[in-house]
Amino acid sequence: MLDSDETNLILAAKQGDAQAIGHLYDRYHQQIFRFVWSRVGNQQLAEDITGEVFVRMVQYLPKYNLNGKPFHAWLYKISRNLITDMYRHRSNHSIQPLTTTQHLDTQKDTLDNIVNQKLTLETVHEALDCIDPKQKEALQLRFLADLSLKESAELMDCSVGALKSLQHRGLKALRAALHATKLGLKEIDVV
Amino acid sequence: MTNIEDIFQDRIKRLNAGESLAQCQEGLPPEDADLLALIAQMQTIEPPVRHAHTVAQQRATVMRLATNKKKDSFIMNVSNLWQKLTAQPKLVGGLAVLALICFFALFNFRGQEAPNSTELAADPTPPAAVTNNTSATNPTTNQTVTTNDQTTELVATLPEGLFLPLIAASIATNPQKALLQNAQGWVEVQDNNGSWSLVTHNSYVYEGQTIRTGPLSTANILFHDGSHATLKAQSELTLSTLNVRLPRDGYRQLVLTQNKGVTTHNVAFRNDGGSQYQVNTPSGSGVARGTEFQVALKDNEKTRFVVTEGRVDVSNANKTVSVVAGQTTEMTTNNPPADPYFTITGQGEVTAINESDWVVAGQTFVITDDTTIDGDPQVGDIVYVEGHLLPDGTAVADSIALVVAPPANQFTLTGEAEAIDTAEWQVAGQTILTNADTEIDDDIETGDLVRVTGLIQEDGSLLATSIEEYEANDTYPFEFTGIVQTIDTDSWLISGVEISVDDETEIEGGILAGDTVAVEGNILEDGRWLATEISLVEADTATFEITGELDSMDPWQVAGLPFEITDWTTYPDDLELGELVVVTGRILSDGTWVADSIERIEDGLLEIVFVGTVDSVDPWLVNTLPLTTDENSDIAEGIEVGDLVRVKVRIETDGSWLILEMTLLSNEDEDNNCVTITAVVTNILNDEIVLSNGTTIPLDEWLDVEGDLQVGSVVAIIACVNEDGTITIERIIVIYNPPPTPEDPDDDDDNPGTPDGGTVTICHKPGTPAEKTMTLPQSALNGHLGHGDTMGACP
Repeated sequence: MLDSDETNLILAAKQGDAQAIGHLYDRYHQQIFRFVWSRVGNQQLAEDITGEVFVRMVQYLPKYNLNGKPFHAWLYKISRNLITDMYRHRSNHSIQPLTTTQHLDTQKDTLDNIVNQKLTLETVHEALDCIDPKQKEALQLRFLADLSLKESAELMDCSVGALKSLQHRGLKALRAALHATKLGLKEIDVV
Repeated sequence: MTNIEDIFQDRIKRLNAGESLAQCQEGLPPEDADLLALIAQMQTIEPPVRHAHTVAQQRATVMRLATNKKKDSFIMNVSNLWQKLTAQPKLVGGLAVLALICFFALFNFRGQEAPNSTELAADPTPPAAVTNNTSATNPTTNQTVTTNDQTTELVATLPEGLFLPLIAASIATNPQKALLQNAQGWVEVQDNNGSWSLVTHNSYVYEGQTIRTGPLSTANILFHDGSHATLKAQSELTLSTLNVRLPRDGYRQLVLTQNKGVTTHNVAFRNDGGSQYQVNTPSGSGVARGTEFQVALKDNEKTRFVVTEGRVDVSNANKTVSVVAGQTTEMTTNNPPADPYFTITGQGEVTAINESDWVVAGQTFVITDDTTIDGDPQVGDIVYVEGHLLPDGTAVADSIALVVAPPANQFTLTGEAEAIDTAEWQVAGQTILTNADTEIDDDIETGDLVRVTGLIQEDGSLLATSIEEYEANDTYPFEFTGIVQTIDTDSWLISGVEISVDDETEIEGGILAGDTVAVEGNILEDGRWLATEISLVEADTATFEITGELDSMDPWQVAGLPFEITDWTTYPDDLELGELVVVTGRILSDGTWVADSIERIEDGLLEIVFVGTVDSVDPWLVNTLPLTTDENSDIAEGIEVGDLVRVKVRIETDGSWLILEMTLLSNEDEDNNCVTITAVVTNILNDEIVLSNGTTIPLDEWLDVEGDLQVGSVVAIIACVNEDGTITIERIIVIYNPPPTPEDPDDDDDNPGTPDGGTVTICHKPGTPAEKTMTLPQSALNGHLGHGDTMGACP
C-alpha cells in the first residue's frame, strides 16, 4: 500500500511534474542501484542500468497503475527486465543504449579497497554462477539487494514459501560452490 | 515456530536486526548455523558508494526528460517508439553492458574538414624549420605554413597512483627516437631540410620532425616508454621535444605540437613527478593530466579536449578547469576553456530529422555547425551518436554515423558445386535455389568450389543471393577501398597494404599516388595480395571485405591486415585464432579500418539456428525435423517433449542435421497453466501487434519480446492463465522472419504501400516541403508512422 505522500508524488509525476520525478529519483535511486549492483556485480554497469531504469520510469509512468504493484516493486521489475535483456543480448554486439557516460574519480578509493572489494564480490558472483539461476536470484535479492522475503517473492513471481525454499537450497548450493571455488574446481555438482 | 524453516527465517530476521551471529546461531543445527554464517558474510558485502556527480547527472537527466515529455506532445510518439524499441531486444539488446564497453571506449571526435589554409604553429622553442613542399599528388595540398606566436602549451603529466602502465616494454626505440608505425593511407614525414617524404613502412622519427596524414589515413607514434600518439586523418603533429627516458633513467620530456586535425594520446604511467607529456596547440593553453585523451583542433583556433581516462586540468586565459574521464572541454584562442561537460554516446533509430535537432531513440540532439554526419542517415535508420551535455541538460550531437545492421536469416555456404541447374544448384549436399536476382559468377562449372550467400526462406529452403567461384585453401578473396601511396611495376602500396599486380590485373587509367581506389583480388598462399582489378572511386565509398586466417584478436588482424571492431561489430563468440573468416567493414574518414561483421567460413558446412517444439527426445525430432547428435552436441538438461527450444544445427555433407547446441526457451511442464501458440504477425502498430487470427496483443514494458518482431514474423506466444481466469501473455519469441522481398522494378509506384513482409511504400513528411514517396523495410515502418508519415505513395 502506498502512503499518501508517495501517492501524491506519483500522481504528480504521472502528470509530468519534473520536481516530483526528481523526488522519486531521490527516494529510490539507492535501492535500485543496490539491487542492480547485486545482480551485475559491477559499479559502472550498475550506474548505467540504474540511469536507464529511471529514464524508463519517466516513460512508463503514465501507464503505471496506482492500484497495481507497489511502486518500488514496479521499479524493481523494470530493473530486472533491463538486466535480463542485457544478459540475453550481451553477445550480440548489435546495439547499445543511449547513456551518459561518467567516470569514477578513482583517487577517492585506494587500490587495496577496490581490489579487495572486487575480489570478494567476484568470488561470490563466481560461486553464484554455479548454482541454479532461480536460487541465485533469490540469494541476490535477499542478501545482496537486501529485499524482504515478500518483495523478493513478488519480484520472482512466486509465493513466499517457494522463495524460502529457493533461498534455503540456494544457500546450500552456494556454500558448496564457494568451497569448490576455493579448491579451484571449475565445475561442481551441487545437490 | 513449528518447523525448522520458520526458525531459520526468524534467525535471519534477528541477524538483520543487529543481533550477533553467535546469538542467532544458538540452537540451530550445525548446517543451518553454517548457512547463517554465510548470510552474515554475504551481507558484509556493501555496494560501492555512488558518486555525487553521477547521481546529480542522472537526476537531472530524468527531470529533463520529464520536462521535455510534458512540453512537447511530439515526444509522446517518441515514447511509444521507445517502448517499441525496448520491447525488441535485438534493437536495444546489450543495453548497459555495451554502455560499459562504450564507457571504456575512446570517444572518437571525428576529423573535421581540412581548412584550405592551415597555419603551422611554432613552439617558443621552435622545431626544425618547416616549409611547404607539398607535391602535386599530395592530398594535403594548398597549405600555407607559417609560424604562430600564439602557440601555447598543454602539458599532460600523470598524478601519482592513479593509473596502471599502458605498455611496459619498449621496443627498438630510444629516448630520442620514436617509432612511426601502422601508417595507413597517405602519411608523410617532414625532414629537417623541410621536404616531405612518404612513409610506406614502419620508420623512426626524431625531435624536430613533423608527421602529417592525408584523407582516410592514420599513423601511430610509439615512444620509448610505451606512450603513444595517434594521428587521425588530415592531422599534423610535430615532435618539438623528444627525450622519453625510462623511469630508471630519468624524466620523460615530451613536447608535441599539434598543428591540425585530431590526435589521441595514451600516456604511460609515471610517478616521478617530473615527467611530462606535453601537447601544444595554437589555440589555448593549459596543463593536462591523464593517460588517455584526445585533442582536436579545428580551423586553427578551436581546441577540444576529450578525456577518456583519468583527469586533465585544462587552462587558458587565467582559468583552469579539471576535465575528468568522460568529459570534454573546448576553448578558442585567448578565451578560457568552457566548463567541462559530460559526453553522451549511444545508438538507436532516427525518428525525426529537423533543421536544428535530430531525435534518436527518444533523445533529442541539437545539431550545430560542428556536428559531423556520416553515411547520410535517414529517418528509420539506426545511427551511432556521439555528443555532449550542456549545463542546462541539452544534448548536442558531435557526430552521427549511420550503422548498417546485418540482415537476419542469412546463410553462407562454401563447398563444391555438385549440380548446376537454372533454378536449383546442389552445393555441398545442399539444395540452393536461385532466381533472377541471384548474382552468379561466370564460368562456374560442376566440381568448382563456390561460396554461396543467401537467405533462409520460410519453408527452410535456401535462396542464394550470390554464388561466387571460390579458390579453396590457396587463395582468399579481398576487396577494399584505400589511398594509393606508391605505384611500381609489379607492386602498389595502398593504405598500407602491399598489393601485387600482374599482367592480368585490370587497372583503370590515370591513377596517381594519392588517389582513392577500389581494389579487388586474392590473398595468395604465400601471403601476397594479388589484385585482379584496381579502379578509381570516390573517397566516401570506402569499404572492405577480406577473407583470410584470423591472426590476432587483440588487436584484431586477418591475413596480416589490422582492423578495429566497434560495439556493433558482429562476430561469433567462439572464434579462434587460425580460423578462416570473412571480414567486411568500412574505412572511416579518420583512416581507421572498422569491421562491421566477422563471419567464420566452414568449408562445406552450413549452420542454421531455428526455434521449434520438441516432438521426440532421443532420437531428437524438433518441428518434425530429425536431428542427430555427437559427442560435442551441447543440449541443455531437462528438455522434454513439448518444450520450445532454440536449436543450432550444422547440416552435414550427408544431409543430416547435427545438433551443435540446444537451449530451452520455455517449459510447459514448469507451469501447467501456460501454453505456447504459434501465429503470424500481420501488423505492428505503435503499441500493439495484430496476429493473423485478428487477435491484438499490447506491447508494454512487461512483455518479453525475443527477436526482431516484424510484419510477417512467425512467433511463438507463451500465454498463461491467471488464477482469476484472465490470460497474460508472458513472452513472444520470433521463430522466423521472412526474407526481405526484392523490389520489383515493374511495380506501379502508385500502388499504396501495403505490408508485404519485406518493404512498404510510404509518404514521408506529407504536406511539407520535404514530402516524398519512400520505400522502406518493414522494420522501419513504425518509426515513420510515429512521426506522421502515411501509408502509400504521396498524392
